[in-house]
Amino acid sequence: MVNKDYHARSGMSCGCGRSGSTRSSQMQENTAQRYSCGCGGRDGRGKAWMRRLKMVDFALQELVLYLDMYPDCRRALDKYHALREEREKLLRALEDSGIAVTAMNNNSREHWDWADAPWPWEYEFLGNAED
Amino acid sequence: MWTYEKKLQYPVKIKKPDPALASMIISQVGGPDGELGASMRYLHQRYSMPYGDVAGVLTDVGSEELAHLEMVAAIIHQLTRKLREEDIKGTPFEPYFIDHTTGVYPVAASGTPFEVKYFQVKGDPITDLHEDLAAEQKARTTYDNILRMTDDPDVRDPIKFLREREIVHYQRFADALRKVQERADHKNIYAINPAFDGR
Repeated sequence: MVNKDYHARSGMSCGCGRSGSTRSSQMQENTAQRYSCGCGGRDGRGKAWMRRLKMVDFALQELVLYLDMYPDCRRALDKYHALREEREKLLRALEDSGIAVTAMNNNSREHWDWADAPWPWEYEFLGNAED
Repeated sequence: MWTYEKKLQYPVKIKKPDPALASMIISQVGGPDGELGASMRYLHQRYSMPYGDVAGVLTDVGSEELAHLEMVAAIIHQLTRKLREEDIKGTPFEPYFIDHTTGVYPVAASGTPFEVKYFQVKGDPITDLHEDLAAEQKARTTYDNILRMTDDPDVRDPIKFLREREIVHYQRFADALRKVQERADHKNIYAINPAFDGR
């Protein structure tokens, strides 16, 4: 109820049909502002950033396992640092557009929006998009 | 997706080994009201929780329980540090030692290995949250029982922290249950199961 009221008042729904925890379809009408519904962030690039973040994180995961076994491999270490830098940039970009990847990297100032966007196991989750 | 942070949620630094005490505290690793069961309960209940905010509290509490699992395991590890055979012989730690040496294995104080039967996913928000509320109180009672068994401040301090967290989680689940009930038909909050009928 709290989330629904907030979205109705502020019009912070982006038009993806999912306005957070209440899944109200009345939010579909407002497409002027893009915000925390999880479909792309304020400037609509969230989907691409999330896709890239998943690639970078998977590559980092592989490098971490490799480096655990080969800690002196310079090539792997350089790649690790390059990707780590990109990961930080992606996280900042996502955060600034209203998409929090962890509860500790949430940019919410007026309303806690951690739970507003679809969860990763849901069909509607932005990281699960085919395109 | 999860990532690991190389730190304990709250420090564990136990100077004096005590294998008998370890064989009691192990219940909070793999016992009926332990941290492993707690984490698995909440993380599995999330998928049938139709309210994003309540799924969020299940995600975040379930993740914190993994941090608690690590803390209790650290307590067990430090209570069984540098033991000699004669420190073990004749203590209640004997049977555990035979099966697991000084490794940390999820088992109850009574000796039963961890059972998934310790928790349920009913797929009904009101029902699942009632289990969660009870689970937090059962864990709190277990920590109270552990606190009756030792005067060692090194052990009591992290155990008291964990006991407090049970109370905080209980309060948050109570908030979650209230929100779920507020969203239901007030004439009959059991009229539908919003996880199944509300789709």
